[in-house]
Amino acid sequence: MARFALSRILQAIPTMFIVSMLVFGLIRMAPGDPAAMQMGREAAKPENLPRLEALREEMGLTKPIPVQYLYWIQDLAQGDFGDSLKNKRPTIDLFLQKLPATLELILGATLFALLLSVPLGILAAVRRGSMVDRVSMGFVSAGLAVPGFWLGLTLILLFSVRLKWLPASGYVPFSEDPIENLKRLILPSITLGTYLAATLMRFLRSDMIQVLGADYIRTARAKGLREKSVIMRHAMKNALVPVLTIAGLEIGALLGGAVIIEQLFGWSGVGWLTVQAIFDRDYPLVQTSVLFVTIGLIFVNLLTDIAYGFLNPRMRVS
Amino acid sequence: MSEQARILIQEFFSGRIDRRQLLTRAAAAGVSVSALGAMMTTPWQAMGAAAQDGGATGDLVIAASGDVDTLDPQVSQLLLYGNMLRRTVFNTLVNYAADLTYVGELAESWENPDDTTWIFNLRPDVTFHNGDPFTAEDRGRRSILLRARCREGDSLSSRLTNVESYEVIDDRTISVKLAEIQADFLDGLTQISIISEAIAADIENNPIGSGPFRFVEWVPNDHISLEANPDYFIDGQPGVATLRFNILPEPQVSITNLKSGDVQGVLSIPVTQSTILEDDDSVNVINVATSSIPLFEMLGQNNETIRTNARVRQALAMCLDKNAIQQTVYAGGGIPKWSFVGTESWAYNDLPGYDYDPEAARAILEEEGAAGLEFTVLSIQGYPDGEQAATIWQAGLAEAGVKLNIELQELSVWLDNYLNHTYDVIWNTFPGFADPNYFVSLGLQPHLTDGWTNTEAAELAVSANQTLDQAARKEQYDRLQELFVEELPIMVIQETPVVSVTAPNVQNWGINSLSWVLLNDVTIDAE
Repeated sequence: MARFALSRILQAIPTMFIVSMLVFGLIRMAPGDPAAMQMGREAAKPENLPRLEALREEMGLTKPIPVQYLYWIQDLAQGDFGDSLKNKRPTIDLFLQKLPATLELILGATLFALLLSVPLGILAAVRRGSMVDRVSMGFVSAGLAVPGFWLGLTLILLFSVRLKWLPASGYVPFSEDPIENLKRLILPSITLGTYLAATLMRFLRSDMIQVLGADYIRTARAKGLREKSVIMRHAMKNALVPVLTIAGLEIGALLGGAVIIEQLFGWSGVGWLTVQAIFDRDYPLVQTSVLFVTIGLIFVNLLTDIAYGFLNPRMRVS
Repeated sequence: MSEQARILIQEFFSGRIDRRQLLTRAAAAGVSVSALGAMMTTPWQAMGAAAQDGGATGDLVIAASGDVDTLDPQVSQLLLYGNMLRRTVFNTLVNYAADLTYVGELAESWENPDDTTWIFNLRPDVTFHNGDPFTAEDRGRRSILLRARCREGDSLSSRLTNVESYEVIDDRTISVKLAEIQADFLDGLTQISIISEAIAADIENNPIGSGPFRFVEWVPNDHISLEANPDYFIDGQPGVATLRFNILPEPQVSITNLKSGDVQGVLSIPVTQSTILEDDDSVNVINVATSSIPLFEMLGQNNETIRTNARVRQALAMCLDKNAIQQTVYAGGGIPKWSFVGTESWAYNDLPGYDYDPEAARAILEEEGAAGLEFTVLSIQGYPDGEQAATIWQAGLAEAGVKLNIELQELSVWLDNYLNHTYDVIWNTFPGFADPNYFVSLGLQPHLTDGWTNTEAAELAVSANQTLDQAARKEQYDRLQELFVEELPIMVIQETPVVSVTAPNVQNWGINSLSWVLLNDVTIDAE
């Protein structure tokens, strides 16, 4: 397993290089000038044109893009991720400051999705056509259709404005106040996790129905195993393999969804930071964020592959 | 000055009553017009101080629609920066009174013995938040203004480029010599925050000023925290013990946060969203007319017909239904107008402009050989009023046989096109300003050096700011406004209102006609 993990990590290095080059080049080729963004309206004054040029020079934007890229790689090799063009702070500090909030949000959303989808998906499959199945499928339809922004606002109106049970917004670090942190995590996690829960539930139900009709399940039942044992030991393990694929892929989608949820709940995380950096044409911050998000996604894919092996020994061998 | 007069003035400037109501209620209360006039020239700070009789208590949390770009007051030009930091953490030598005349803040008084010399007498009782005293000479530097003087690349440095020399006369007096006459010199000083020399090099991380609040923390994209400065030189300010700005970009989210009690105020929301809150007792809507102006800039390089033909621009102006824009986009608020100068300004010239008449426009376009004209307006994503105004214009233009395309661009892309003049017509918005030269230098000069070839206008734009006598300045600006409306290098739409929302127990929330939200006097009633 260690060799497998190592080979996957080595394969990831060229991927990261390609991603870094693409991001570096694309953001610089996009229209928009960070120096003008910083000077704002004052840049329109004809007498300020030399200052605008000087600012571009100071930001290192006047050199050819490949040269800028080489400088960046050189700095990276020395552990220097560069300073934000907008607020002059080290980009790595800004990123790491926001990372815990986003990780917590994604973890919360994934936990919510798994806790809801796994039992309900299995129940819906086992009791096909029952009330549980119909309610679950209703949730799936609604969960896939409802926009996250609307769901979040509705939850805030219900639980924060009307019932006053939970705070409407804001992030408090777990280390500062664990109870407050968890209270503030509930609504964003539900909002972000609902789509994932619906997706997983749909796949789990259909996979489970397929697995329950398989020969080896019939054999297990014929052996006289209890139904609980058939489902938990034999059916669920196989049904979870495709679900794991979906969950792994959906982590990337969760990060995309987190941008909106972070804004909605004032949950200041990596998604919002990155989008704002793109709007501001804050090149170094975009590069740092995308680089680390890429590493994160590669790591999640690796974990997914390892989990495959755990669930299905045949895959481990191959 | 009576207490009644003070309350009336505060209600007027916080938007609770209009000018007519102010005069009517003042007359009913027996407050003379002269007493009102005297209070109109009293600085906001002093009015707030009079309103306070206790220490700063309570924690005020405010929703802001965006974050600041830097902590450095000489770099940021964001209106949000002004609301959150410039006027809370810092002081300026000169500030605006409620009626936008100039009053001393860190300067007690000033005089200009000749046209290019300004002598400022400084307040004696001011210390910076780090304990440094505020004096004319600081740590061997020649003057406090050197401290305020921006580095070459700083956004606000142009406000002081005309300063030739400084002279410290004594610890409390400084003389500033300008290279040439500059009528808006004091106006520029309202934007220059005075900082302590000791922290000048680290101002980006450590914003130490002398204002009513001390900086505590900035977590980018999350919040800014301030605390009351107990040594502030104006008694009674600030009105709250802590002030926190939570960054919440979506107005609807800010409103739900206000209703849930997570915040007690929202700096600004779109006017159209405020109308549904007007009958809601759980919030207080503060709607104030300001001199901010949305506009269409007409001299882009991409459309030769519009750029070179003033009659065509006049015809296009006849297709802009400003009343429809006022009703639809600004919920009936603000004042439609054609001049760039604020309607409350001493320099305003109330010009009739052009009536909405697409048929007459069609005839003019045919005469000018521009029938069937097609052009594109660039507007900015996230500024719905630009798109809405363009849509209303589009309908009027269609009646005159003109096809208008609307293109929304991300701010940085829009800014590129704006600076390079690569557009047919572009929508833009200017915040309120007190001195007309603010708009002339930022809005008009770029066109006067590019597409608007009018020698008289170019000369007036310069000479008006080199004339100190206000009556003579007004004459020049009157003529400049006439040329502006006649040739329409830029078509102003109207003055727009600004709307804040607060919890009912929040008092003394102010908005001035420059769209500045004034928070130093705000108090929270115990519930």
